[in-house]
Amino acid sequence: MKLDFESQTPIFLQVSRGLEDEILSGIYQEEEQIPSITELSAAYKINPATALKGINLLVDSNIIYKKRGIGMFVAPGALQKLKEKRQEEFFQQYILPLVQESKRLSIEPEKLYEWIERGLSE
Amino acid sequence: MNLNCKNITKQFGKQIAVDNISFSLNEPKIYGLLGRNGAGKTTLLRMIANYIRPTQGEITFEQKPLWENEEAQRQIFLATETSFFPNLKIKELFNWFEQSFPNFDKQQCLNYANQFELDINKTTAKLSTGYRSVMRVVLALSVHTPILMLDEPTLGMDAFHRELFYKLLIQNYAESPSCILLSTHLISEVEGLLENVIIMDHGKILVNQSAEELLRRGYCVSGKISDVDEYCSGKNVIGSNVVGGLKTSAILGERQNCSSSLELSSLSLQQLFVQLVGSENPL
Repeated sequence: MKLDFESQTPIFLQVSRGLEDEILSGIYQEEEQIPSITELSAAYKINPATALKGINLLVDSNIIYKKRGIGMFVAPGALQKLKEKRQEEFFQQYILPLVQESKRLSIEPEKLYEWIERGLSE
Repeated sequence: MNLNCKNITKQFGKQIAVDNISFSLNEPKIYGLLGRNGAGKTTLLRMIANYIRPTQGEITFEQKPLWENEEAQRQIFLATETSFFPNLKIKELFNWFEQSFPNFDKQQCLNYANQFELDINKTTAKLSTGYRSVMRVVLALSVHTPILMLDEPTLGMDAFHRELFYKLLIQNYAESPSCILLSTHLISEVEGLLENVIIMDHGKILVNQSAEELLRRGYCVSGKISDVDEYCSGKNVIGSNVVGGLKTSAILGERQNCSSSLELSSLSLQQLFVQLVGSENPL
């Protein structure tokens, strides 16, 4: 996870997004413990309140759950939930910019389809 | 916990270092005290630490006057450049702290000294600038007073020591929150740590609000020179910068949507600070 203090996205959102990415890429498996608020804030040099705010977003959407006095864990089913959520964003986040840039560079749609085919086969 | 500064002024001869300021600290939070050299930060901290008395106005701690209040003196700690007892060995200094501050954790202090590779058999007079800072933060992180003030804590420290200090400060704060007042010029290094920001300028308080709110007050727009100029007309521009055909302007005020040829971005705390105290049109 890398935090960008000049980004338009508030730091607590970057924290929750970063943890989501780490769950999606398998760094934290379901039922596995994630770093504590203290560890997160010390590692990324952020205020513990900011880290907590980011974590709480994940707790509210049942991606993370807290075990009192023990720590925080990835919830069962979190991976599937995250994949569904990210699939909904996929069009906005990847397809629209792709189409926009291809227009700017005058790339014909046929070329685009061909490249997607190629990308899929690689 | 309540520390209240009411209309305090500090004058040295004709020089007004702190000019009629009021504010209070009520909760455990990390405050950033920012300001250019000579803005009055250290004078303010020394008044809160009971080293010097305000020329006018009053500081109270838990509703009682602070001056010569021994109980309050054990609850407030200032780590600043003046060194105490230059001829005492550092380990003897630790003993003195143990007797003077009820919550001083000597074991933790020795552990921190070890992590920073501070030689406790040396006297403070024999330390380099960087290690004098190390000694101050090692003590400051172990006193556990409800109010902790750090005046340029990382002065002369190398990057390794600075990172270690920030890490230990956050760990300490996360485990037992206290009210921390951090005065520093290295704004970009502490930007993520600060919950509230107090900016001083010419002895007065220019800004005292949450870091989040403060950062929302400004933003940057960049793009083709003519597009940026058009967007900026009628807005409060606090600074601009042109590189080739690309112009970037910093603006104070609510963000407004713009055409796709322009790019909006946030100002970092350091950028905002530089624009605020360097410009003639403060907020």
